[in-house]
Amino acid sequence: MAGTQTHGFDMVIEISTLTIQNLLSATFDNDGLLGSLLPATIGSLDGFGLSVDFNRPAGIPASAVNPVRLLFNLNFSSGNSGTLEVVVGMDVDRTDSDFDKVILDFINKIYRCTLSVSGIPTAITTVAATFIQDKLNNNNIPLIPIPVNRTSTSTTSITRADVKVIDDSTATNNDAIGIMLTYGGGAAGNINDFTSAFAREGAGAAVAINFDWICRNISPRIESGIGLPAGSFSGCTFNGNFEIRDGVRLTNLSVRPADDHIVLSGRVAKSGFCYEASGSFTARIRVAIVGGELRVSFETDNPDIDLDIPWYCWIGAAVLGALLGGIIFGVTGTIVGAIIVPLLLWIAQSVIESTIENITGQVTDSINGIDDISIQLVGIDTILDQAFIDDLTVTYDMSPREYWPVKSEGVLTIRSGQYFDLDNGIIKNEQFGGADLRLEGWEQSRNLKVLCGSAIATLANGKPFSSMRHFDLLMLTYGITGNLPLPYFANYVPIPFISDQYFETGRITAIRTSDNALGLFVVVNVTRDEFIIRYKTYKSDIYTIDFSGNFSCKPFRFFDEHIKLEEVSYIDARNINYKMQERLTAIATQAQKSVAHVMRAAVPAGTTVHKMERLPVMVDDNILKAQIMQVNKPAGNWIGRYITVRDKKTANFTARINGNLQVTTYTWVVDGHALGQQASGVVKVKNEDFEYTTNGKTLTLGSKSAAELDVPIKLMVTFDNGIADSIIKCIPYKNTCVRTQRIVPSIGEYLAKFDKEYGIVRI
Amino acid sequence: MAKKITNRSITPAKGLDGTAGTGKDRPVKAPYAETLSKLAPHIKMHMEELFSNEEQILKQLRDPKQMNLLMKDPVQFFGKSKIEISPLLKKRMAAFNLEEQFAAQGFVLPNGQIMNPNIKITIKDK
Repeated sequence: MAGTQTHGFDMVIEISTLTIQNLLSATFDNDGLLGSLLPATIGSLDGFGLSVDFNRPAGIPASAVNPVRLLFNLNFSSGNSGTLEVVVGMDVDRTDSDFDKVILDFINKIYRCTLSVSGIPTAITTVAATFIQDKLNNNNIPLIPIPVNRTSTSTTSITRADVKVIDDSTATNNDAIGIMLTYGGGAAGNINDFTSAFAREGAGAAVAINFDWICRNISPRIESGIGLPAGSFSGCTFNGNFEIRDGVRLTNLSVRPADDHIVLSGRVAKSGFCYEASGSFTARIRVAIVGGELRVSFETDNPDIDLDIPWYCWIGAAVLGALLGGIIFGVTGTIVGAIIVPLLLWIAQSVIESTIENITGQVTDSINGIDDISIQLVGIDTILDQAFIDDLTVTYDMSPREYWPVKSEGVLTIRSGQYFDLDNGIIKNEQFGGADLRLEGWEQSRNLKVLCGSAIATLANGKPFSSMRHFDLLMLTYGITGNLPLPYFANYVPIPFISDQYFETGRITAIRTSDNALGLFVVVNVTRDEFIIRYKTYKSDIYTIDFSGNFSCKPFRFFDEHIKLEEVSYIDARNINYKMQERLTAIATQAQKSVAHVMRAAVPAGTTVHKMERLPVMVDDNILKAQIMQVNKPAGNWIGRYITVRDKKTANFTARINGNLQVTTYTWVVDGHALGQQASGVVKVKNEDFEYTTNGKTLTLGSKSAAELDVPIKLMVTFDNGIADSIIKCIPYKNTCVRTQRIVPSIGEYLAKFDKEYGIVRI
Repeated sequence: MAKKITNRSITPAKGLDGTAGTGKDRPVKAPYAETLSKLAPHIKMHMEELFSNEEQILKQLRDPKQMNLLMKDPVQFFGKSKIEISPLLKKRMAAFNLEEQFAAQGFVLPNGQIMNPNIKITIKDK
């Protein structure tokens, strides 16, 4: 039922506890944030692990809203260990005119901050905790910034974001953060009704869209697409009499939600010589993520055709025969083949699919684009995962972007007897300085020897390799220094007539290399002669210097009232279908090997099987063909190219320094002009005026100039050991924003392409 | 694939309104005039003769059984109704086969689904 999951809000984004924990772990690891919060009196931080808990902690004030408990396990270089517990309130910061930022409000809402470290007296740790709290007081941590246009009445502009920590008190304890969005023309729902998270099928994040809001969006598109009077399809129901083409009139049309699908139904009518005909149709529309794309599929009931024939025509038909057959042939061809079929395809694949695709695209843009504004959070990668309806929910895999510099990564092919170094990917037949591992032995007696100076650790977080980040490697026990036998990486199963008799376990292993760098590797393929190893090693004791920021267009502004449609292009159906077929075939081929290996590879008891990259299980050609058919398009997609001219273009640049060195000064240089510290003013960039503000590691730069140019920006830093370094980038400054998105063609345009590319196929 | 003609039904005739005229000064064209105009002259003559029994035909059609009979077996319908028809029409009507008239008319959708319309015919009195 519409609104059940969203409790009256237009859209709700839910993010799981684990996902937030990953994002915050990356945030506190990035730039050494957590280490910088700790006072020198308790030692140098070597590593940490973070647990995030949305269950309401005991002992905090009853008035505390949305409390979140952060529990850090700490390891110090001294060998001491400890815990830091912080309870902080989550809130929405509305001080920015263009954003509602969901934040951890460290400035106003720290409800608890306690520290304990083994071997350090409580009196010292209590003072240290106060020190940490004072430092946290300067850092609100934004989680998700939502671009808003507070006064807009557009159904596609967000006017307000609210947040609630959903503390599920049921046995499933399915806690999550809920970010509730209200769009123009809508009203906020009831936030207190969110007592448990909605179904995400295990996904890290999901977006639920109220069907009523989808309806508000598709109604004007259907009205204008068909040419119905404005407002006649409000509420997603039409009753009237409107000719679509060839004398066929639409008399009823409705789109409504059902348990796991959308129901599209309608009735058309046509009259002619010797008949009055009407046809009713019903189709069930489903939304799915197929091959990484949001696609709509449908199934229809057989349409009911009511045919009224005058008595004398019937007698005439009995005499002439062909007269009646001609009526039937013509009526079913015109009503069913030429109108009902393309009409329901147009609504399903052009109107509904493009609307939902655009909406989910905006959500993805908004979340992925968060490093475009000046916040401390690391970037987030989201991947569309799956979709289901009730309300319509689209789930995402969400993980922090790679934030820590990687010194070496790739795939190595190792033969028995070879030595290799994961700090740089070098492989040699003889031992060499810096080598970390050696493949020893032959065939089933092979093992991977950990060489002197290196140590490995087992990983038990179950994440796929691509989602592993630096913080995942911090709190492991790097104690394994011996040999890892073949069964650790693959099981040998001598099945006759099968060439690949090694079935990999897929276990991911962490390593502290001989250069004291942290890394990870997985043996992805074992053959009779070789190990193929995927690896990644992070930089350790050196620094990197970089800065982020640009003059990019803000996300979520696709439907901005000021945006102009510049041109429309058409991608034909054959092209789209061919690409989808290629993609699904590639996934199926990959899935076949993966599934076969999962089924047959024995994993030692007690070991963690890391989550495989999500792949649809399609091992049968018929299933593959059915899936290709299900998303086969009879007409292509219309793509609109939109432009908007911006008045003021502002960019926030933030220095990104990683490593063990402390920065003493940041100096920003714009087009050769060195800007002062903590300064603001106007600087010339290629004779154009730019306003600037510097504040340590941040630079804000903006202009109303209509020129399009590259802005040379240089960041110079000085470290506490006297070393100075710099980086320069040319940042594009453009007056206009260009966006592309799918648009809904008129039913006439669609029918023309439908007739040309697919047509009426009778049997 | 054989098409099914389902739920054949008929709306009982309510009266005769399609005769050559309903009043001296207000001649009304017969409703079947257009149908007749499309026929070959030799068949038209026989049909005009048949349609002259309009009142009796409509009376028979008020009986649903008779209506159903007309749909399936027009020759038998006229025989039971005691309405004479010419040998030419009789021969043609004898050859009438309802199922054959409605040859299979399915539509293939892009997803491979085959859509077979359910056709419901209603015979009207005008």
